[in-house]
Amino acid sequence: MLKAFLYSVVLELKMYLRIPMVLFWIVFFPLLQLFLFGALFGGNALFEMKIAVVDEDNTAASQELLADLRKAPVIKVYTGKRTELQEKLRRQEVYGLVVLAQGFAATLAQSKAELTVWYNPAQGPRNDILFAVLQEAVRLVNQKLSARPPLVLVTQPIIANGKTMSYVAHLVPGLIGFCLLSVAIFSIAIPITAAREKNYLKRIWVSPIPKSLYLMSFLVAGWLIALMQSALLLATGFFVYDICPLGSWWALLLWLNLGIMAFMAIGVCVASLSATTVTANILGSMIFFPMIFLSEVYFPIANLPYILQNIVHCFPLIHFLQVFRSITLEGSPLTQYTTQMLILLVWTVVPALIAIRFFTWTGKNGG
Amino acid sequence: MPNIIEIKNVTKKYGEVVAIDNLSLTVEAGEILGILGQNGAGKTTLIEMMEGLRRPDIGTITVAGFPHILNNRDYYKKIGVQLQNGSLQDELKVGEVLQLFALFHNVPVNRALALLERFHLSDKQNTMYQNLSAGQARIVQLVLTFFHEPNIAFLDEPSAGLDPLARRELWDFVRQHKAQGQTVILTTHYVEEAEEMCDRVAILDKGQVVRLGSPRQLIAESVTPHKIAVYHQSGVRFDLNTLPGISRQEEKDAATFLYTDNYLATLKHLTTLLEKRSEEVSGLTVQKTRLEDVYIKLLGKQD
Ligand SMILES: Nc1ncnc2c1ncn2[C@@H]1O[C@H](COP(=O)(O)OP(=O)(O)O)[C@@H](O)[C@H]1O
Ligand SMILES: [Mg+2]
Repeated sequence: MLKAFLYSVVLELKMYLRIPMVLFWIVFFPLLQLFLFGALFGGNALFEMKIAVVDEDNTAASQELLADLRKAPVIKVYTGKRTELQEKLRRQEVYGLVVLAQGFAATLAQSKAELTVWYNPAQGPRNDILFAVLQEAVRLVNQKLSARPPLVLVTQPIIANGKTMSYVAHLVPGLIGFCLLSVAIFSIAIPITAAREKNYLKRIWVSPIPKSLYLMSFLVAGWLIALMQSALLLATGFFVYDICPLGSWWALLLWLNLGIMAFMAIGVCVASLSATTVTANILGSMIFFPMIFLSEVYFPIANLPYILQNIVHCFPLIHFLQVFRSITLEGSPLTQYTTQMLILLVWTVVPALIAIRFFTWTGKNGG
Repeated sequence: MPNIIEIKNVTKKYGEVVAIDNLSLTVEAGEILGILGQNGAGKTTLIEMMEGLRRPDIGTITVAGFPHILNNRDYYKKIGVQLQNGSLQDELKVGEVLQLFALFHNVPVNRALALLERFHLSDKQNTMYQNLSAGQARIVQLVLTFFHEPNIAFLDEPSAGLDPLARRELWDFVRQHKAQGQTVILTTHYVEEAEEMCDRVAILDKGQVVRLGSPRQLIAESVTPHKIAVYHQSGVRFDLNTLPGISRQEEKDAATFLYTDNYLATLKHLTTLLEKRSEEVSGLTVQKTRLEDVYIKLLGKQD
C-alpha cells in the first residue's frame, strides 16, 4: 500500500508539471512578479500621506518649515521622539520620516540647504509617491524663500538590524502567500472537482486502495509543490537580491506549514462544495482574487474602508503574511503571535470539517 | 451452477424518479449476463448497485462470500469495473496508469501490459490518456477492469465507441474470460451484442426485468423461428395473413415482414402468390429471427 501511495504522489506531481497553466501560475508567475516588482521598486508607492517630522533644531526657521509642511497638500504631519517615529516608519505606519537636525537653521543660511527624508524601502511603490509629494512641498517652500538658496530634498533608506530593508524582502513573503493560495485553488480544489466530474474518483472508489490514502496523495503532492515553490522564492531572494530572513528558520518552517495546512483545507473544502469544475472555478476565484488584492501581498494598504478591512481580517492570508514578514524582516519569535496561530488553526479545522461533511466521491449519482 | 449474486426486491429512486422498481434477479457463477434496455431503463443504476457504488433504497443485494459490498475493499479486490462514463487522469501516460492500478491491486504490472498487447495498444504506453482516441481509451479502461483477473467483471456499455473489429475482439475476450470460470455482467443497448455474447439476457424496462433467459429461449417464447421479408414498391399492400404458418404480419413502407412457424410451407404458397404480382415485388429474404425481433416486439410498440 505504501508503494501505491508513493507512486500516486509521484504521479500527482508529474501531472502538475504536465499542465502548462498550473506550471505558469504556480511556478513562473510568482517569480515573474518578483523580478518585475524587484526591478521597478527594488532599490527604493495616494490620498492622505502620513509623514513623521522630528524637529531637533527648534529654531524659528525649522518651525516655519514644519508649519509649511503641515499646510502642504496631501501631507499629514506627525511629530514626536525620533526613536518612536523611526519605529513607526519601520512598521510602515508612516510613509516617511523628515528629520530637521540640530543646526538646520544654520545650513539654511549657507548655500547647501538640505531636507532629509528617511523612507522604508519595504513600502515599494509607495515611496515614489512619498518623494513626489515631498518634492512638491519643497517646491512651494522654495517659491516663498526666493532670497535664500533653494532647499534640496535628500532621500535615505532606513536600516533594520544592520541591513537595508528592501521592497523585495517585503515582497517575497507576499508571493509565498500567493503561491499557497494558488496551490489550494488551482492544484487542489479544481483538479479534485474535475476528477470527480469525470468519474475518476468513482473509479478509485471501486479499487482496493484505501480512499483516504488516495486523497492524501493529492494533498501531499500539493504540499510538496507549495514547499518547493516557497523554497524557490526564498532562494531567489537570497541569491539574487541578497536578502536573508532574520528570524529562526524553524519558526519560519513551522509557520509556513501551518499556512499550507490552512490553505489546503480551504482547497479541499471548495472541492467538496463544488459539484462541477465550473463551480469550483467560480468559488475558487471568489476566494482567490479578493484575498490576493486586499491582503497586502504587494504593499500595505492603508486606506481600505473600515468594513472591507474587517472582512479582510476574517480571512487567513493577511495574518499569514503579517507573521511571516515579522519573522523574516524583524526576526520576531513565533510565540508572539498566538492569536494569528489560532486564526490559522481555525481556518484549518473549520474547512476540514465542512469537507468531511460534504465531500463525495461519486458526485450526484452517488450513494 | 450456484448463484453468485442475489438481488431481492430492490427499489432505487432518485427523488420522484423510480429507476429500479422492486427488482429481483440472480446471477449464476460463471455466466455472462447481459442487461439490455433502452436509455434510462435503469441499467447503470442496477449495475452500479451490484458494484457497491450505489445503495438500494429498499431490498438487498448479496454477493457470495461478502457480508456487505458497499465500500468494502475486499470486495473491490475481487471485482473488475468498467464505468459507463468512466475516465482516467488526462495528464497520465497509459503505462503510468497501469502501473498505478497494478500497485492498487498488488499485482505485477506485466499482466496489464500483456493485456494491452492483446488489444494491440502496446505502442501507446507512453501516450498520455488525453491523446487516446475514444475507443482506445475504452480499451485501456477494459484492461484495468480485467488485468487482476477478477471473479466478477462489471461492464457498463463496454462496446460504446469501439469500432466493429475492436467490438468483435471484446466479445472474444469476454467469452475467453468466462471460459476460465469467471462471471461477467454487462449492460448494452446493442441487441446483437447481447445475443452474440451472453448466456442469459435480462431485458430491463422502466426499472423492471420484463424478460429473462438465454437468447434462444427468449426468441422461442416470443416470436416464430423465422421471418420472411417481401420487398415491394412503396405504398403497395399485400394481405398475407392467411398463408400457412404465419403468426404475425408487419407492414413497412416498402416491405412486409412475415413471422412464420413453418417457413417452407409459407414460402411454397407465397411464391405462387407473388408470381401473379411480380411487377410490384422487388425481392424476398428468409431469416432466422433474432433477439432484436424480440426486443422490438416487446419495446418497440410503446412509442
Ligand atoms: N443521480 C441521478 N439523479 C436523478 N436521476 C437519475 C440519476 N441517475 C439516474 N437517474 C434516472 O434514473 C433513470 C435510470 O437511469 P440509468 O440507470 O442511468 O439508466 P440507463 O443506464 O439504463 O440508461 C433515468 O430516468 C435517469 O434519468
Ligand atoms: Mg447507463
